[in-house]
Amino acid sequence: MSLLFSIGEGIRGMGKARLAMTLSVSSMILTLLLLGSYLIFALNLNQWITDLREKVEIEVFMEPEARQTSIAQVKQALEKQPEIETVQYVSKADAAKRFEEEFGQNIYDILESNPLPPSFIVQLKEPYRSSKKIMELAAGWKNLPEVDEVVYQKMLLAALENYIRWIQLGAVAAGLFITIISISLIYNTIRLTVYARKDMIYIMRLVGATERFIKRPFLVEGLIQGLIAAVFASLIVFYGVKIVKTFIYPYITMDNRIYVGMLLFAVGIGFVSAGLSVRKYLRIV
Amino acid sequence: MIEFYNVSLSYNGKRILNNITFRILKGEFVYLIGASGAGKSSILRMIYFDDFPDSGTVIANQFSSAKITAKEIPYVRRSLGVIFQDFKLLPDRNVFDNIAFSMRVTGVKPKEIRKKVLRMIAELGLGPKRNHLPLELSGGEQQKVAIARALVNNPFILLADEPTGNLDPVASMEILEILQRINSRGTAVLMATHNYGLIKKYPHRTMKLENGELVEQ
Repeated sequence: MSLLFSIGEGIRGMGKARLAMTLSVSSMILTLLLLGSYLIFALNLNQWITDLREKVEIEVFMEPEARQTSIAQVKQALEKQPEIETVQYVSKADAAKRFEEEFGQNIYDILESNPLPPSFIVQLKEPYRSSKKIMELAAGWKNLPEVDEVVYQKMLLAALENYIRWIQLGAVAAGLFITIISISLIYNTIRLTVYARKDMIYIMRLVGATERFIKRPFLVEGLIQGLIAAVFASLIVFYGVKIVKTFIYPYITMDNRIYVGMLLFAVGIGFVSAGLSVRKYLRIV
Repeated sequence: MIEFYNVSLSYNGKRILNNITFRILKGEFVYLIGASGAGKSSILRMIYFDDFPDSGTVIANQFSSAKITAKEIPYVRRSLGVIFQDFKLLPDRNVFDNIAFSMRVTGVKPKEIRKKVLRMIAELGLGPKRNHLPLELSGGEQQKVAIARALVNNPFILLADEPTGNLDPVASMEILEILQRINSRGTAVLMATHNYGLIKKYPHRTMKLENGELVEQ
């Protein structure tokens, strides 16, 4: 009975303080959009970083005249390593073909023999794609029989690691900032809805309602406001992403967990803000 | 029932009440008079523990201001009724719902609420106005609704803070007659008022607040 009463009062309260409720839901939608955009940005940034790192290849060059036994030995050693995702062997003939593809000239038209060495193109698993790890592995591979040198995009990797750390830090700071702004904005607008019903709070206290009982309708209200805001914000984000994908940036990535996150954030913050606002208000009236 | 022992109270450094001691017994009718700002409302507020003395003790229905916890306060308030000059009704609820509100917030079953509220409405002659909103009622009728709301939980005392302050003489007299009737059934009444004419018409024990002191008259 008392729970039904609280739900009824919560819904009734929203209808009564329409302006405050509209303000509150609007500010929630705005902050959710901000948060949603941030999450999409962070997700795509992460995706971009992963893609870039995937492109980092390591080439293990053998001596130009390496023996087949050495090549087989190196291949076996590389394939055994747990850090490695793929190993692709490029024979002297393959290298000549690649040369022709890249430079448009047959190597035999320029030289009498093929000086290009056989090599292995190695791709590491995701967690090992750091310059530190690559350096470590490369040092080991250099000691394998008839390995001439190990080459990888040192500059690209260094730049990635240098800038990405700052970009990620900046993104985290922006996320924190947005979250704090969101919480304070939503908290303050929910306080408006509580203030609009100060008379009811006073009368409830007067006739002996417990604090928990007084809070309940406001908590219900906070939950419903969060839910409404999350639905609207999710719809806007959904169509926003569609528009961006169609007209601006076709590679944009979206994850359904962002919608779930927005919903949980909105409902949680609605609930907590309402609880805090009433508690604060109960101390005053 | 209600006891004040050496109660003092200050607001913003100004002493309002100074060492006040009195007792209100079961079924008594007591007037509390004094100039505006003399501390009449403060005394009422301390009885329903909305305010606490700087020193001394207030005891209401065996709960002491010195020992009562925040969790106990709602339960004391359920045992007393309070009415105000400005009625403090919920403007978006009709007469029935305003009266029922105090029972709903204390978790009474709907069937019992309906029975008691309808009885109270009939007793105070509000039957034809049962579905009216407060703004559709006269001042006297609004105060009757407030009285009904205060009484519906069977309080041992009714605290009335200037209940006739916003009413014309006829409505004031009607309200006072209702309070007399309530009192005759055993509910104590403590009424803060300025209306000395009413006191003369229905004389009872009167306490006067003067310069923070209490003078029995």
